Amino acid sequence: MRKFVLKFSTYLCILMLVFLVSPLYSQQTKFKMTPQENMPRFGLGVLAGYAMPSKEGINPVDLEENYNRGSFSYGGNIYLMISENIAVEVNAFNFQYDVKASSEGLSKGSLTINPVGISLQGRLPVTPYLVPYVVGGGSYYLNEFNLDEQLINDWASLGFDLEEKVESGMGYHVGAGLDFFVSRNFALNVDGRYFINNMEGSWSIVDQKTNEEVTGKLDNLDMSSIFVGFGLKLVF
Amino acid sequence: MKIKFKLNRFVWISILFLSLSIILYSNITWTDFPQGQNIPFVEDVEKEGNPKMESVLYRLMNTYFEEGMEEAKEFAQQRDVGMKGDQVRVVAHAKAQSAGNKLRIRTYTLRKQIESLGGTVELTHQNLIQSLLPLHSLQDFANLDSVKYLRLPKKAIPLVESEGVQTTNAVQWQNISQYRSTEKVKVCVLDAGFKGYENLLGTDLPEKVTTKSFRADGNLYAHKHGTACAEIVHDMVPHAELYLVNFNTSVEQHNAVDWIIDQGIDIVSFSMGYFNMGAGNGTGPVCRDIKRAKNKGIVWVSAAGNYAKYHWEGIFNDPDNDTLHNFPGAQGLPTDELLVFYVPANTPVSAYLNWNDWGSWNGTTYQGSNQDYDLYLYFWNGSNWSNVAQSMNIQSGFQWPVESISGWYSQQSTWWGVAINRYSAARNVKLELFIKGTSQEILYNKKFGSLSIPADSPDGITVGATDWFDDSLHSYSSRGPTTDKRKKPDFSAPAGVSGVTYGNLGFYGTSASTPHVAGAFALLKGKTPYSLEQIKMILESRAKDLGPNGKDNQFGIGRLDLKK
Repeated sequence: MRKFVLKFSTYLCILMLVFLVSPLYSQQTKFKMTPQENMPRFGLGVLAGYAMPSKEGINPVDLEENYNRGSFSYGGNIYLMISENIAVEVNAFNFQYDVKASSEGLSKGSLTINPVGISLQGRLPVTPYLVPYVVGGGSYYLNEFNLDEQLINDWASLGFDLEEKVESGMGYHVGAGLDFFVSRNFALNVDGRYFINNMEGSWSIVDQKTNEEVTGKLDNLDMSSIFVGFGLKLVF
Repeated sequence: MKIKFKLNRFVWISILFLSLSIILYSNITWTDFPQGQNIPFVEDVEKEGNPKMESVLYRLMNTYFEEGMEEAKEFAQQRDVGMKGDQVRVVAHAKAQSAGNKLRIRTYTLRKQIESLGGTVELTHQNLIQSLLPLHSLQDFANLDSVKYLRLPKKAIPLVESEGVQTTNAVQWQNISQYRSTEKVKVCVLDAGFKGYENLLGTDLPEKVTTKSFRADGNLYAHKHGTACAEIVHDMVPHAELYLVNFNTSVEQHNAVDWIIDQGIDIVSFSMGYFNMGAGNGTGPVCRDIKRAKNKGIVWVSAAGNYAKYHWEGIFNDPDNDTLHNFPGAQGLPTDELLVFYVPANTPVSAYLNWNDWGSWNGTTYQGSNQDYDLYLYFWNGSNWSNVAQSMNIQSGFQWPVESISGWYSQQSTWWGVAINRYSAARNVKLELFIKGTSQEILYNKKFGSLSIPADSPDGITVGATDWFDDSLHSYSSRGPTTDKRKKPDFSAPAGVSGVTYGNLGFYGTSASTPHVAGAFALLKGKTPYSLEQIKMILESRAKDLGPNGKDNQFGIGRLDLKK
């Protein structure tokens, strides 16, 4: 936990430093943005930040008590600025949460969420190098849940096999962000998104001796997440 | 050399002591009991009584009319008949078979009639009314049209006679994190009493328990047996919610079961048993309680009973045509009309007889018997057999085929015996006899088929007793089969275990075994999402098979074991 906070703070400091320095740099270079002349433009971006479940202990997924309501997460995107105000973006993210045993949700284990999506950005340039935007689109959520190893081993020692799964499927995301162009081809980026990820899950326990199996469904498992991150963009 | 001499002397003294013990013990053998003595059986006695009244009540009433209240009270004390002041505690069977309003009206009418006779209704359950009646009104009350039968209350008997947590490998289950369980498991210990339970709260019992007494007198502390059972349940499943519920008579038990169902109890631990309360085939009013509980999803775990050494059964046999049953020869002895057993001083003596003429069970009562047999109790006074009591219920068609004698007290160590008389019967029935009061095996003992009621229920889990240390079957542990040839018990579990209530390694009997199994059900119910029916299968698959391969009438499917 401490390691994570240190890591996150370091990223944050570097990004803030870049933000502070970059206006000076841009004034020095005195580049002039004339987007209309160069459209469409193609871009690549990376994001690092903090993701957390959308609710306190996203019902019915509970978090470990010592869990800091989220985790370091990252993502990347490829986008195409079609015009000064519209861009299409293909993105992918990775979130990982620790989950504690919950009576109706998931059991103790780790939950990995990888949304791969396509979004539409509505861009509203304030200045040539300051461009806020709103973003929304669909994602395919690659969800994976791994039961805690200790839990599996303990139950295996009593003669039971445990399994718990979450489905992958389509969902949505919405968000907003800000691109700060420090040069014609390079932008700093702050981005916040809400990933709507309601899926089904299932669990089973099998007695190795009798093969007696109990299964259950986890309906409408809410694994929605909030992501806030900083990034870098290269625009060609 | 000196030390060696002392050691040798010690060894010799030990051998001498052991030899003396063996000689003394061997003095009390079957070859030593008074044989060849005529028993003073009263062959030509005209049977008196009221067919609608248990014979002991009739005799009590006669004693009262002929000898007065003091003599009647003495008789009641001798025969373990419950009296409160000048009134006797009885159970009346109301005649109506139909449920609903008709029955309610009839029991209401009976209640009024009891009150008009100077009696008090203690409690009711369906067609049963437990009340206190003045002795002079017994006959009048029994003769009422709406009364089918008047009897003494049937009392359940605590089966007294933990290391089990380790033996059954429950510890591993206790330590494992639960998998998908939702609510706390509710376990009810239904027993005779919970004396001293408060002292164990927060240590050997949970910090908080729910208690309820269904005894007519409301006395939760009538016995400490239930406290010992609750201790074991708590040892097995420390986080279960415990309900401590006590009762004394079968009517009180019926009401307790109504309440247990309302409370949403998951598991009932029942280390109690009855004699003469059913045909041994899973029918009868006590087994009906278990069926009702099962229908509501409750697992009922019953003790098999501690009567393997004190049970005899066989077909009535009278080769000398004197109407007395001749017990078959055993252990080198000739046949005899007395079944003999040795009773230590200061021990109560009881005998219970029933035979296979119960008739069909209609869900409320049995059709009844028209084969009339009686039971006689004798003791050896040093020179001859003396008849001390008899049970001579009339069986003329609707009464149950049961006779019982209880409450006698052996003031000195001596031989006692019972005889069975065929009073009026068209056929030789199969008799079953239980003796209480001896710690030694009775003469002609038959260990199999010695289950108490409701250990015969197909709807409950029946538990026999094994030693916690070496898995040997405890000799007293009652055995199957049931009278309809089903194998019982279902499981066996440790006994002779430790607890605060009965001390170090002091809790013996199937009473001690039963809460281990009830606790195991609760443990798995609390830790897994399995249904109780599935848990039964899981426990069966893990039980340690003992005795003959597979399920048998001694160990059941095997000794409870929760490991893989």
